[in-house]
Amino acid sequence: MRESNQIVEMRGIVKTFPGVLALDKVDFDLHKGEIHVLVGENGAGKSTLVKILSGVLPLDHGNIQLDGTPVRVTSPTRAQKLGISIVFQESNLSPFLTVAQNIFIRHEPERIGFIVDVKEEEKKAKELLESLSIDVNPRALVNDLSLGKQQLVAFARALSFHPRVIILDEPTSSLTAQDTDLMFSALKKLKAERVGIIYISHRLEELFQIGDRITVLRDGRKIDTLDIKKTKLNAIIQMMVGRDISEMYPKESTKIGEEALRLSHVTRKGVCKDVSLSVRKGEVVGLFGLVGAGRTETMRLAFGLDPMDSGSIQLFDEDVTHQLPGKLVDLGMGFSPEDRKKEGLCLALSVKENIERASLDRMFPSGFVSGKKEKEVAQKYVDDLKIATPSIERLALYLSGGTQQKVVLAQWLCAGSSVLIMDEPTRGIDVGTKVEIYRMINELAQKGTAILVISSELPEIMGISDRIYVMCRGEITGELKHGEVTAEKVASCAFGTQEAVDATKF
Amino acid sequence: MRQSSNLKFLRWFEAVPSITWILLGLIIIFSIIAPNFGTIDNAFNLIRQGAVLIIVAMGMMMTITSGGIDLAVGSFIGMAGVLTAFSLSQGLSWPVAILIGIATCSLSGLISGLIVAKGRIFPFVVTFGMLFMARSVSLGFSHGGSIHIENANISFINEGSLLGLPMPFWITVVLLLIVLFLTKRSVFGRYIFAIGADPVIASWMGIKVDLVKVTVYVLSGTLAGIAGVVLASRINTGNGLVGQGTEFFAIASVVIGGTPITGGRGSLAGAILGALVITVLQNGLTLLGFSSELTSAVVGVTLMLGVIFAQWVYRGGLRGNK
Repeated sequence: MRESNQIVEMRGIVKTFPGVLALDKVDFDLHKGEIHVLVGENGAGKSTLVKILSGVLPLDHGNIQLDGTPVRVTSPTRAQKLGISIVFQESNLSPFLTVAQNIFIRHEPERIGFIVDVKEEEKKAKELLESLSIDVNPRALVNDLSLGKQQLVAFARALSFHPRVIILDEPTSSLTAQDTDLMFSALKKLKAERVGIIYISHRLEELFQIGDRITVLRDGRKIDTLDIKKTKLNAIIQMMVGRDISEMYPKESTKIGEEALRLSHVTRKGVCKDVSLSVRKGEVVGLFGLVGAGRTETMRLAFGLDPMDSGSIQLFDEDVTHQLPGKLVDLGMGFSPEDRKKEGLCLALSVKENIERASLDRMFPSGFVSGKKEKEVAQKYVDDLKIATPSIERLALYLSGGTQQKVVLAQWLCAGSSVLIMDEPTRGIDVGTKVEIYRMINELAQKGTAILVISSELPEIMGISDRIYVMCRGEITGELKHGEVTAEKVASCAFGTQEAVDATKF
Repeated sequence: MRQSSNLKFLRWFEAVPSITWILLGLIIIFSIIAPNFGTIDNAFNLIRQGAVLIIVAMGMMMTITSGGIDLAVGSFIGMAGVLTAFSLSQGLSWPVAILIGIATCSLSGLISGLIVAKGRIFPFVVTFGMLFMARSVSLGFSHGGSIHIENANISFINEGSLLGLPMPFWITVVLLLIVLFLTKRSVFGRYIFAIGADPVIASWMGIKVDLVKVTVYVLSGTLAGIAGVVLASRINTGNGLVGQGTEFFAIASVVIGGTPITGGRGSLAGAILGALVITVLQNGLTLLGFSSELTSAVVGVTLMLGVIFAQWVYRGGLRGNK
């Protein structure tokens, strides 16, 4: 009897990307009419697993069964035909088509051959949206909708295929509470119709609200599948994190000096509200929060990349409110962005050129570049930071993620930065290089650099920081010192709902 | 109260593509200052002159919206004319000759499209190469000069008229209806917009991105080929040099018509109005006795102003920042 209840069965799924084992023999199964929650840290392999099931990524090894029959999901179209629909994490609609056009793209109501029956399309879209109580005009351009509404339209599109299996990858990350409720009631209806639902979310409090079973992934491996009703939140967090924190994070105490950077009441509409924080010389400050909490956006304000509405920023003794990044770099600030490939370095430039990118004015005040000096300086940083490159002339494009991150750091060291903002410095980096980066952060702190690290990895931020600020929905919801930090405290600030955490009884 | 009526006006003003105002302005100015501009004869002249650019601009609108570009269309114009003239000179009948001229352009578009889609090479580079190859074909067959066309049926394409309007007008209208239908009402049109906005997301939606790309380049080549035949009938020769630079006027028409060069969105009406603006400018300035150098300069300035104006309206125009 239990067999007939199973709709999806994935066995021994293996997927490698160049240099990374993203999924290591993962087993996963989904029952009819259940909401199966998939959790794990960033990079644990959740999105990769569902992308394989929905035909976006090919698998290396393993097999998939649907209703007991082995299937090969070779393309998104194939998945649609098999009855597997997915709503991706990022908006996956075409911005300059209308809502109705987006919902029915690839299965348009047709009159003759390839001609779209526009009236029928709009009518069907309207019916579908109304049945889900989504208040969106089918004729509106998707580009004109808020992110949350776009996500609801993507959800409607997924349902328009009448799927047997629906996958939701962080569907509520940009939804309002009201829209979240709306989606949940739709999901409950689907459950009753025996649709299998895979649900990925970082908002752990949600999972208890709607989930039936939970599977935890970590570093590409399945840790366990559990009945959610019999599981406690702290047990889930422990499974997600899993490692022994003290070994990985060689935290050394440093002498903490005067204040280096201070944000006072920084506000920007839709980004952050009344954010005040400070970093001292020799101090490593962590900024934690869920994806979408506004951490990156706030630090972009601090580095002058975006304008702010009100508040002030102080760098050492100088008021640098509304200053441009160029001026801030001159005053000793450095910024290592989250997306190092796009914003952190120039992939088409060599290691040498990347390292010296922010320092050429200072290195060569005459305006003429000395090739000899250029090489000496670059070589020094390559040696000091043990940057794994065959030559300083190697293009950044060909380096591994961890090595690229070191080059970004070298760039700011070369520029003499004394205040460093690092956004997700270890994202997508293997464990060994991670530890090296933590060591470098320590060394810098010991030399008196003020460091602010944004991270979504709880153990990382707990391991390396002297002090942690937690953000939730654009506001600072907590400040915790090294000694008093526990995963539970940080998590409860990050989720912004003390009650939700209490309810699950730590 | 005044505020609301003001806003109503603004909304109406912004609903009409900004290029329309530029076109209307030019027509009014030239009607006043240029001798013979406002005559029926000149209007027919404008239609004949404008047809070639409008037809090519329709194809360019599709390639640009799909996230690509087709730089070879100017050379296709020459190639279609020369091959049609050459085929006639070899004793082939006129429909076959025209078919050869146009089909060669379609085939060249197919080659461009296949290299762009399957080879994953930038369309700019691929079609730039195709520009030289097609030009060399037309120069080769015309021995670097031109082949005279003596065929009443071919001349009819330019000189004939239906219901009192010249044939190039009807050809343009028919093609316009087809392309309008393709972009607005067909499944294929949706896919052009989707792949231009984001090819990865489009493929996640299950769209066959490569197939759509290839089709767009075939259509662009075919339209340029038709434009080439229309032009050849006007000058009664297959000339290996004609059409040079038309690709840039076509890109300009599309861009001042409100289609961003980065793709993902596009306006067919805008592209056609853009092509009309360029045609009217060239015609009006010539009537005013401007030298061709000066005409180029004025066209250039107008293009820039047109794009700036379009951008300004797009960003919120008189209402300020969005």
